[in-house]
Amino acid sequence: MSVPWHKRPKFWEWVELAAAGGALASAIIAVWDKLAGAVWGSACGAVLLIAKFTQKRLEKQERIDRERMARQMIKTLLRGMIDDYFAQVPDENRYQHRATLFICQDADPARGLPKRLEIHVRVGVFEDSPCVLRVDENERSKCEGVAGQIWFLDAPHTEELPEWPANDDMTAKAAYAGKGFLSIERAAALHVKSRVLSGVMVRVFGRKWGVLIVDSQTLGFITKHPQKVKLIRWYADLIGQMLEEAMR
Amino acid sequence: MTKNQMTKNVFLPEDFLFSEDVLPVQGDPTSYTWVSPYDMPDWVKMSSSDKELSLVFQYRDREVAGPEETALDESTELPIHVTRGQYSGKLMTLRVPLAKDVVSMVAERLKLVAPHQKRKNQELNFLLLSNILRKKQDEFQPV
Repeated sequence: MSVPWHKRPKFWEWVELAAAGGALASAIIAVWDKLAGAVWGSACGAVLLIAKFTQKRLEKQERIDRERMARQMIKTLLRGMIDDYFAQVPDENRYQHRATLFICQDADPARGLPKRLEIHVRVGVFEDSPCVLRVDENERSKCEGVAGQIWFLDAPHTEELPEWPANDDMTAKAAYAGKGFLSIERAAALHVKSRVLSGVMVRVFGRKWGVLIVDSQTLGFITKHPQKVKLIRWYADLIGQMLEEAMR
Repeated sequence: MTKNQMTKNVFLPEDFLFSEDVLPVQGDPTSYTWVSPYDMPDWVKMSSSDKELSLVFQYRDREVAGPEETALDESTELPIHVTRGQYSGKLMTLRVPLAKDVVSMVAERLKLVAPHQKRKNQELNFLLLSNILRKKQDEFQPV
């Protein structure tokens, strides 16, 4: 689908250039006729301002569209990843397995927000979960969840968790929370009590960008079999490249 | 190019990289960490002259090396100079004077310094490269 000329930032860049040229010419006109020069100068200035504003707005919209498209493509990729990674899982049990791409957001002291991982794209149950995991560059103990540990280590990590108790067994709850690098309260609030989580850092232009995680409510499907490790490598690599293209 | 200069590329197939004695994995069966996909080279460009052996590790991502070449460790007997990735700190290039069994010595030194790296990904990258050099030392051996 082609974009109409007036919606292309490049067109407005040319308008800006022409208006700047016009403003320069008006200064020369003003040498002979002050009024004509002033009128031309003001008109060109106004066009320049409008062109600049429009160009900025269109560029912003273009960036938003590109990010939205990248997110959509990543979602399709994650679906493929689940199909590949959990190929042996019967269809009726697929809901027990998910893939999530977390994005790291910088701390925002004005809003009282620490540096954190937020869900960028998820495929599986609770896709719109507002789950946020705190991370820290210097202290591992301040990094929440398995994703937080991966962020800190900058290396792939797999963690098997014990079962979350059906009763009020606080020792079992503490064991689950401890292995999941969460407080008991945060672990209790999870909608899905995963038994295994495995993931990898996603780097963009060499920098840490986010964390890609697969999680399962059943033991035995997330393993260190070379084929599974290769799959994670392949998808992390692909997602990184896609994000690099989107950010260009 | 002088008489004893040579350059070659050593390709590292996935099956080799993911084999048990090459891929470094740390931890126990319920909690383990392995080397980052971005820190696994696809191939190594090797060049040697009369005086030194130089290795350039080619990774999949587009990270560039930091500006400074530094010494791998404090050893003066066989100084190894390296450059690291600008952000990840992984090993990008390595330069060492020629000596007998130089490749196995470099592999051993990488293994020794690995646990002293600041970050886990760097430690695992060093261990992987050490394993690669150890397993393929015949291919990296200068003429």
